[in-house]
Amino acid sequence: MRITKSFIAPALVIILFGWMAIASAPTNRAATITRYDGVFRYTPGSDEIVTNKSKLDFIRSTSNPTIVLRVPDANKGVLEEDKNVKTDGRREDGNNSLYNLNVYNIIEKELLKGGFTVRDRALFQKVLGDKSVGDYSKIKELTETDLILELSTLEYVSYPYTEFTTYSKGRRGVDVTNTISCSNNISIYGLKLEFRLIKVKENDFIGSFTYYYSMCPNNTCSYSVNVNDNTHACSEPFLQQGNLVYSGTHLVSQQNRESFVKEAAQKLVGAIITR
Amino acid sequence: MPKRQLRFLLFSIGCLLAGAANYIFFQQPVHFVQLIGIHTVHRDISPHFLSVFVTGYLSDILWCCSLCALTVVLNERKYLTLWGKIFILTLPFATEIAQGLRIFPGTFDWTDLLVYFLIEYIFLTFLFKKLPDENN
Repeated sequence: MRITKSFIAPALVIILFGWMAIASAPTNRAATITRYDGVFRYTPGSDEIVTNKSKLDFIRSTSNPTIVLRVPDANKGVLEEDKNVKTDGRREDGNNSLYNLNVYNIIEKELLKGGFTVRDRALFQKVLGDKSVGDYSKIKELTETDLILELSTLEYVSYPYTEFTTYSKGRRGVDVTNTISCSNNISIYGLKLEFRLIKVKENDFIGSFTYYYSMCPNNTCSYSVNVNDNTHACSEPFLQQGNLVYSGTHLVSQQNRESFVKEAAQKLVGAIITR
Repeated sequence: MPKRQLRFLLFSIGCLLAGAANYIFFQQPVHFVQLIGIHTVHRDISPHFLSVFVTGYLSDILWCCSLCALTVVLNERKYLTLWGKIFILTLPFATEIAQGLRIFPGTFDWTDLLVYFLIEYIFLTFLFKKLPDENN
């Protein structure tokens, strides 16, 4: 009797509490999604300018130096000695293409404003394509160009996150800061632009100019994020304007890309020609 | 029933009710809530750490406390042998491991195991009375 009594009590407890443990498991219903207004802080890369000062003096002493913009497509058929030119990061992603005529025109316009004589890109490309042109000194003769400005990199820079911040009004109107953790990596995107400056006659690399785009004021962006309440999986940060949703690299609009390129080209001209 | 045992029993029942209320008011629907046909009300809790505690751990803690308190009562009423107590007190760990092995539905969490250990440690150290005939 005693053995039965001592067996029944723990068995009942285990069955009852075991059932509770099973019954408290979540049902397999569709996951609920919560939308947050997330705040993302980032540290953009610092602009980097590396130049050969003595070679730059040549530009400063020349009135209206001639220059041509070499763009990524023009790399087809480059000189043998120039095959190792950096071409990383060039991408064409449908409607979000970074390399387009607008960007090139903006750069050339800023060069013109800075006092350069800008040579025709198409002609330059044709000369480069001519196999009889063996070295840079010939290029100078044929195109009467002092400098090549190569747009070597224009790419998106990813800032990854596994959590983001939200602000809400607590009791008595006090701002409450919450950190939402994600079970996956999400990213926001900035831009990086790099120019290489080459003196044609001597085939001298005389400068590298790298600029970073800070996409939001005070390096702090506000985007919406959808979070799965069960799995804590976060969507890519997005902006909704009416029925249109922008996310990923599309958060950097064509207009913003162009103003960044314009600003970078102005800085470049300023760095080359400080008269 | 002595007052001490009555208090533990009420505490045990109270923990279960509080845990159930937590499931109804703050969590995603679970099987037992669906079973009794109650419509759950999911409320957002702020700040985030409190939300994680309430939705992730509170019900488990209350469940384990209830189990321990009931074990104290059954022990003092001499319904349990030493093996009976061992079996009951390994239940929280067993369910968690069963979740990890996907035998039970739910999510395995090391933090749950740690919390169960702490709760049982507190009960065993401070609240379990060593009864005269415990080793019988």
